Amino acid sequence: MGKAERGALGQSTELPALGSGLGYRRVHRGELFLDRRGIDFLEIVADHFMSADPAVQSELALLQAHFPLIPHGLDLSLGSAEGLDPAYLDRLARVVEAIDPPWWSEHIAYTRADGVAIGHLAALPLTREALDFLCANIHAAQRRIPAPLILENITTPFRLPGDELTEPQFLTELTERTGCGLLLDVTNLLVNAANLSFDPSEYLDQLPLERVVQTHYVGWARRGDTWVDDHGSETPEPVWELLAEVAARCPLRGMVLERDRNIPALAELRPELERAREIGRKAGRWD
Amino acid sequence: MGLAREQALLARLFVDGSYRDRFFADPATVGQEANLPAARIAAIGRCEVEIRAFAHSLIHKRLVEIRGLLPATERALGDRFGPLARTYLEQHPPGGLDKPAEDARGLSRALAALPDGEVPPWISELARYEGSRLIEAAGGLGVLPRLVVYRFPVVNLQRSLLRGDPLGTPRPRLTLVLEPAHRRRA
Repeated sequence: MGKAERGALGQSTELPALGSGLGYRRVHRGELFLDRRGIDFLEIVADHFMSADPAVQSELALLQAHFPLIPHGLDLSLGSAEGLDPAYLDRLARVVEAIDPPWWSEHIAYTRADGVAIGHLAALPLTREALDFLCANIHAAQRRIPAPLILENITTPFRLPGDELTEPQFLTELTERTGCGLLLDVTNLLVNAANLSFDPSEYLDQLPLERVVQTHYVGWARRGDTWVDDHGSETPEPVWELLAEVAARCPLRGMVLERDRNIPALAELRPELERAREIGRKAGRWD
Repeated sequence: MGLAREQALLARLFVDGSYRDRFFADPATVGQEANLPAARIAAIGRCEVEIRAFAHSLIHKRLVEIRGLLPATERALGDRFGPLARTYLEQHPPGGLDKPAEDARGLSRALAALPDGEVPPWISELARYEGSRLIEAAGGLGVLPRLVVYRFPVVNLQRSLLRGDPLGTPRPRLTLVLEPAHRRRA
């Protein structure tokens, strides 16, 4: 596949290998600039930089001057059957354009419907109808934002009845129809495997692995009978093991530690960043 | 457009506690307004436990995020912070570009507006102050400083709480604070 289509991926190996990255959180700003070693790139939440506030834009410019940045959207609601919010898409496009990244990412989810903001990522039914709406919205986003888009798998604690496809089938068709790559969140994959009782290796076997560009990884938590991706603890061994398998089998260009709760000092996260870098290096994904 | 109607129904079930209670008490009747096939309404009705759990997890997530943004207010309120914040979140769906900050600002305003006696007045003032310090991410055009009057020494109170100093019962003292005020787009 060539790179002719706007927002499509082309061969993921044409993308730069960014290495081991960190999800940027403002609490780390001071430490980041005191010691930038070991952080190959930053993934920024695009929504946090949509404001025209000069302080926010100065922060973005400062980050951009010192790190490769990958924008990660939260609220585009690509799965909304009512279509995209054009004002939000414009704001997102301005952030992506300002950064000019090798790729940007969003979730396979909907976050709003009929004027109601859910405030979180809600799972789509794995149906042909949902796939059609999702592809139409992605095409609209690709027309507005020319940088390649990669799509992230989310967690869901339950599925409503009526699915017509498995998730790997859904993702395979989705990537074929849109040209998008995948952001494989390995923590999300394992959380879903535990909650929905499936084998993560079989899931991986059925994915279009050549489309996986980036990963997310972080710790999880258990609440009652349910595993949750609370992003609040150190990355556990099963996640590292799956990350190594993914690195060995997919043409990864980056891995991102996505810590959002109980955020420790940056020094405590550095060993995880180094371990991820080493996994990618051993797999031959970067030097 | 079945998916649009289903997403509208689910979104409401996820964020609107009173609607959720009405729906699961009688899915067939309350679900009629969703204009979905009866079998689909029934299928959603059978997922009550899962949908309630998901809705509660959304509130929990928002609550955790607010705790991090209003740490002094949380320490001042102690065990009351959780129930008060949960009540606020149940009644206010998420909004804005930076939803955690929007939630925190909204809660701080709600705490500040509580009638005297619901929470000590110094905590109301502290909540108002702490909420005002959050970074505005909702489209301001610039920052214009303004002087704001508080009835209690909120700056010192916040500092003491975050250090874990014993407070006793704070006494009123008029305090002027220079705060950023964000102009909004017209």
